[in-house]
Amino acid sequence: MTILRKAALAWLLLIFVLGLCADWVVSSGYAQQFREHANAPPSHRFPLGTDELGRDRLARLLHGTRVSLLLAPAAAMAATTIALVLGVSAGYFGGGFAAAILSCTDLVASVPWLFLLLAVRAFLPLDVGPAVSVGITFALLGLFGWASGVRLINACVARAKDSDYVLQCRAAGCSNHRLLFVHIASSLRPVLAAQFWLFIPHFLMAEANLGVLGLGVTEPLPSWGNLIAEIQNVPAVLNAPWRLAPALLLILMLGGFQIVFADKEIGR
Amino acid sequence: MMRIRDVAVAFALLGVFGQSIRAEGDGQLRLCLRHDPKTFDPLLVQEESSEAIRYLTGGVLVRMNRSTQKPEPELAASWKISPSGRRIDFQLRPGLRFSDGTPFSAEDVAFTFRRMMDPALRSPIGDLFRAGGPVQVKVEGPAKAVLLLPGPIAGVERLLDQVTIMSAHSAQKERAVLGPFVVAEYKSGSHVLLKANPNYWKRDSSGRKLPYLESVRFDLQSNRDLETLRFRRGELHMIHGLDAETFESLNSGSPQMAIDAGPSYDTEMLWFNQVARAPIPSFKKAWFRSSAFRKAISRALNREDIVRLVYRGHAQPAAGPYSSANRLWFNGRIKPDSHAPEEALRALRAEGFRLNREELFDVSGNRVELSLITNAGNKSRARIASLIQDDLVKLGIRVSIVPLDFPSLIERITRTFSYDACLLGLVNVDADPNGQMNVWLSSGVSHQWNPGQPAPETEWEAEIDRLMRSQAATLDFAARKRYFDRVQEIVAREVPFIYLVSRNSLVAVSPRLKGVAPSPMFPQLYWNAERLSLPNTGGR
Amino acid sequence: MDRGLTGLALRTGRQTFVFLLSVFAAGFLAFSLVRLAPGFGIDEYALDPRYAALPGIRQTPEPGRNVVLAYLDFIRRLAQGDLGESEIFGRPVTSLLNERAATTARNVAVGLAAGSLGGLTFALCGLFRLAFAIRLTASVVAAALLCVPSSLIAFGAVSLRLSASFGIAAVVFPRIYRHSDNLLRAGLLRAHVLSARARGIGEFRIVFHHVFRNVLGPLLALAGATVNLALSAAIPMEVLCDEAGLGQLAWRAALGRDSKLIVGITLIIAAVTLLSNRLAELAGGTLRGRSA
Repeated sequence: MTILRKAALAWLLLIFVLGLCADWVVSSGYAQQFREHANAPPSHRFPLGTDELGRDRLARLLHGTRVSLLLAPAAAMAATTIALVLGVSAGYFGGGFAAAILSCTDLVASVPWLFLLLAVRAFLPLDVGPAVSVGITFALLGLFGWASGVRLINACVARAKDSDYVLQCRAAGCSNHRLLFVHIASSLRPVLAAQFWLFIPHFLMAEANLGVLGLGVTEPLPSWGNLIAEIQNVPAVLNAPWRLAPALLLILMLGGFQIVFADKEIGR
Repeated sequence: MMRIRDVAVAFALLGVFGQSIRAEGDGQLRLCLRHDPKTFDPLLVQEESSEAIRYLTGGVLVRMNRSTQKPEPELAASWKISPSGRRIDFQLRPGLRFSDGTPFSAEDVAFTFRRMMDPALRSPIGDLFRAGGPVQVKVEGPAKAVLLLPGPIAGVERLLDQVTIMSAHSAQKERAVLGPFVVAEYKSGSHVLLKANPNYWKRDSSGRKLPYLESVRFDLQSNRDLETLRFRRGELHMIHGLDAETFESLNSGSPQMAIDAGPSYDTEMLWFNQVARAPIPSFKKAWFRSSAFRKAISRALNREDIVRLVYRGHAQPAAGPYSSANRLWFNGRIKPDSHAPEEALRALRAEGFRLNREELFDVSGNRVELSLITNAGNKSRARIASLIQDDLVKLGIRVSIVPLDFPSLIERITRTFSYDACLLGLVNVDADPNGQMNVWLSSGVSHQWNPGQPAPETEWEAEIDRLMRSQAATLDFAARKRYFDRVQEIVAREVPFIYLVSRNSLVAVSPRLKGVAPSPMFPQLYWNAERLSLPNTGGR
Repeated sequence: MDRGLTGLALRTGRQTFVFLLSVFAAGFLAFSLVRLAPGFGIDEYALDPRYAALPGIRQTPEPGRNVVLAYLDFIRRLAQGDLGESEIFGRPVTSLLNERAATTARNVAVGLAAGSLGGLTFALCGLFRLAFAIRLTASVVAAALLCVPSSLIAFGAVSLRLSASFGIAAVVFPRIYRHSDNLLRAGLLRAHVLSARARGIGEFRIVFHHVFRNVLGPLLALAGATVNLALSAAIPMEVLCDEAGLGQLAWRAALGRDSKLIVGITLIIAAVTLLSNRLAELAGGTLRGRSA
């Protein structure tokens, strides 16, 4: 099914390039308020209409892509990597070491980190630039969002350790490192792919929610998170279904990631 | 085959998830409170939920009529304030009983005031009375009580409106009430149920016992979208304080339910941090302390656009602390600043600011940029902030908008003072300027732009202090009005608060509910709860 | 015999100790984070000009100088079964938790069961050869559920007259589905499965006997970790659906910076998370022991 994969890859690239070239694709800026055209339906001038303040929705969507498509996968990658390192070391070494790591993981999953984020906001100057603010937000998400994957990875490693092929590798004189990083890690691919795929929308939504605490992308800069948050107003969406565009784009993008990163046997 | 199984599974899931929905009882008014009431003790009330319960259950000596905005006799059939303002004689209604059957007499009035003035109780309403010294009640017979005040209190009736009379003898303590309803059930996070007080004394003109309603059920619901959804379904009878978007969508579907009740007391405003010890650069303090700078900002803002885009026309540009809803104290001579960016820029230039490649710099060459904090989660306010940001960009001023959760915001504006400008709505519950002493006195803690000054730091703040003290010391309404008009004029000139808009009171009321007369005063929709009714339409 | 028993007792004792240590560490972290957060000790009604100046209202507790001592004091009281009094509700924390635990337990249990069963069922059905449509549908639904804000899911739940458990199920479903689908699919490619196929064993038998049993260990770990996910999802869902559970309580406590209430809730969440993961581990261990 390489054609499907290629198509998905092309699709992701297309979104990415459109995001990067947003300035050339749309004529109006993301912050420009056409106050006389507020809440306008799609038209030749505004293909996705305008928002409450008369800003071009398409321009906002494309500019939002830039921030979100760069940072969310980066944070997802960071979180997946942390989960991988902890899960693999716990699964491989086992015993008291594993117990300690897994207990810490549970601890991280149970503590209300919201307060840390609030403290970070209080610590940052108020007029911190949007790029720094959103960068810090995604870094924090990546740093504290990994806990959900560790146990699963740990279980997979424990299973792989007992499996026939690892025994065979050991018998063939394979080194511990090679075993760990080549054979066992490669068997984790489906778990990691799923974890990565789940992290992306999770972090995008979290970023939008943190916007409410003054972290993340702040006005007038758009992000997919805060664009999607707009569809909360159900009656308004029913009257103006084009507001769903950001959510649809995200779903299609996740589909693309799923196809690109999942196992080769996707179409079976 | 697969499809049939899927459908079966879906139904099974619906069964598992389903909540039981109570059928709507006749004669039960249903509405929402945002939060759990913090207390049921009427003398300890300090937030809106408890205040709502207190209003519906408590009997008071004098009630402010929410429609006429004038005091009316309630438990006191009449009252007389002495010329010095230090003595008030109450003639109580005879033959009244608390909800548990205990008879009501002047002794209960004395007990209530004694309890309220007990420093150990820390009663907020007691503190409002205590300001001048001790308050005493003399009992002169079962139906006669005399209130002795240390000094005159202008508009004392609006304070009496908040003093719920408690029983001196009832074993039920605060559960024994004289108001139209009694608290029957409370489940934290879920609901408060009030039932009609069987011993309520009021009757309508035809002699029928009030209240008409059998019960009032407050669901504790903070999610406004769900509140609207439940109203649409007929599970709620009224919503107060709709946002313009929801109002318009309700209005387009069923116009008889959505009511624009005209201007409310609520104003949205913006202020700059003028606190001397604030941890912000001194050049910023210099801008914020310049009334010319503040006035220029005020003139650069497009209030009409805020009204049109954020409130869809359901608001008015604001000029001062009180909107026209406050019939007694509104100063009609003050007009809102009109949108004049060129004049604003000219005024800034006159102050030494200069525009260089669309960026504004001050006299010493500092770029004019500032942060605007506001509370998170308020959609209208977020949009106002974006409009302000865009208006100020045109002056070359860069604004970063920072929404903060409420405790963080309050900490910044009351303790650390680490902010440039703040956008908020003022809680304007009290119609009388005496309720705003803390806002206007330079020593006040709610004097947001520069609270708690040991001595007024500016000439005009000193003048406001004098005027506010003078208006509080006299009982002559005309004089008070003159003083407070002057305060409003100074505020309009010095713009410590940049008033933006006062929004209309947008409400939704079920057509089944009769007798609703929205008022700008709290509790806006059910202030006449004892006269509201839900006649049976016969459809059920 | 005696030695075996002593060993068991020692092991159990050690595990209980680690469990308690972890739970209290979580409590301590929560306790210190609340105290560090901006707005701690701020009165919610400080902006109401009528009450702002009043001495009775303004006397808010100053942030404690020593967090460790304050927490130790808290634990000492906890040992006597007293979690202190909630600052925003003015009631004992234990009674608040008692009152609301049942709602959340029900929401989490139902949401977890429905979400996991749904996810697993779809993943299993998707393994069969002609089930491409099921797979596609489930993938799209899972992606859509991940891509809409919680408030929209909650709105949907209330519109359909469903409880917050539906929202929790909607959060759990895509995660369980995506993970189990990938695990099972990878299982299909294992050598023994391919050889079973070559031997002409029926598809049903392959899926349940060879693939499913093989990935049961990771699936159990997933289930254990999902309990914490469902608990965390209960917070926004109960808030948005306005249900009087622990989730809603947690949110109110966070907004009011109610340290005692937050610690109480954190202790519960940590205990449930640790217990569920420990149970999943034990079940996985038994399974491995049996298959070995």
